[in-house]
Amino acid sequence: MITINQKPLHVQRCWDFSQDEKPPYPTIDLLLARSKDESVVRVAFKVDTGFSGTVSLSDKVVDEMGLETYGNTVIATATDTVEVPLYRVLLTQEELRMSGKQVAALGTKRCLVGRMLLRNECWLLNFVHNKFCLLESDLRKQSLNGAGTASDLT
Amino acid sequence: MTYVNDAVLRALRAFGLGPFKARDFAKRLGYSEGYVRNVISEAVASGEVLAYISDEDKRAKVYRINSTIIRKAILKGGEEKKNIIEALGLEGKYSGAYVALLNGEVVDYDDDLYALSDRVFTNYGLDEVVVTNVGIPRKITTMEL
Repeated sequence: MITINQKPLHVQRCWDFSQDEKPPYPTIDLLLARSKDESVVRVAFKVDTGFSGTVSLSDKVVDEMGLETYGNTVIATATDTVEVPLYRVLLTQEELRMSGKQVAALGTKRCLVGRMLLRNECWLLNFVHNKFCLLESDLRKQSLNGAGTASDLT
Repeated sequence: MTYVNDAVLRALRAFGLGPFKARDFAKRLGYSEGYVRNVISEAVASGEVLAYISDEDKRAKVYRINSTIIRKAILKGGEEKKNIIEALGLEGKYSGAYVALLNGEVVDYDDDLYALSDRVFTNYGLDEVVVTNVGIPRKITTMEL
């Protein structure tokens, strides 16, 4: 059994790695809406731990949702700085306790989720079964209090 | 397509969003009045410049840069955006920050794009305001993939 500080590791929810690319990569599903009274769209977001923002949306998703840009900004990628459009989108993700939260989203090639959404949570990358998992809330609290670190995993 | 022609950018640098007369424009930039009248009449036709009758002198026309072109040019990005930001004189005070512009005026700014966006979502209509960076942001968003 995997434990942290002698307590069993409980997984709250797992998402399968996407098989769209090789090697497969971790994703989480988010529900998106343009406004409160519009229908939601479920989209799998690739996890990018090097992305310091919230989410980014592909052109396809932007077009499908009919989002209008409210600005743009330059961002730093691994190799360059590029200018990308900004969109407002409403995010819902039950396990992350978000319901219709309005966030600034960047327009990029792929749909990505960044550290602003992943922070304050405890995650498990399971390469044995190709799953990306959210650990349950008690463990998150312990981790936030500094009780557990990666080296405590036994 | 170019949203803002060079003469309009010069007028923006010289007069900001305030009123100006063709004569002032010609004098300030060293152009002939005839040339300026042609340029302005093209800019009025394209909607880049708005024309009014002067309150003080009913025979004189007064012009203003149409602030809606600023939002369009910024949304266009690249050189258009760079030129407008330079012409508005934002580089000194706001360099490295993100700004929210409404009718060509800075209504809010922040080093944090997300904090600024949250306030903009609450306080302004997204079809009127425009958010952008001035220069390279101090707190630039990074992306790995």
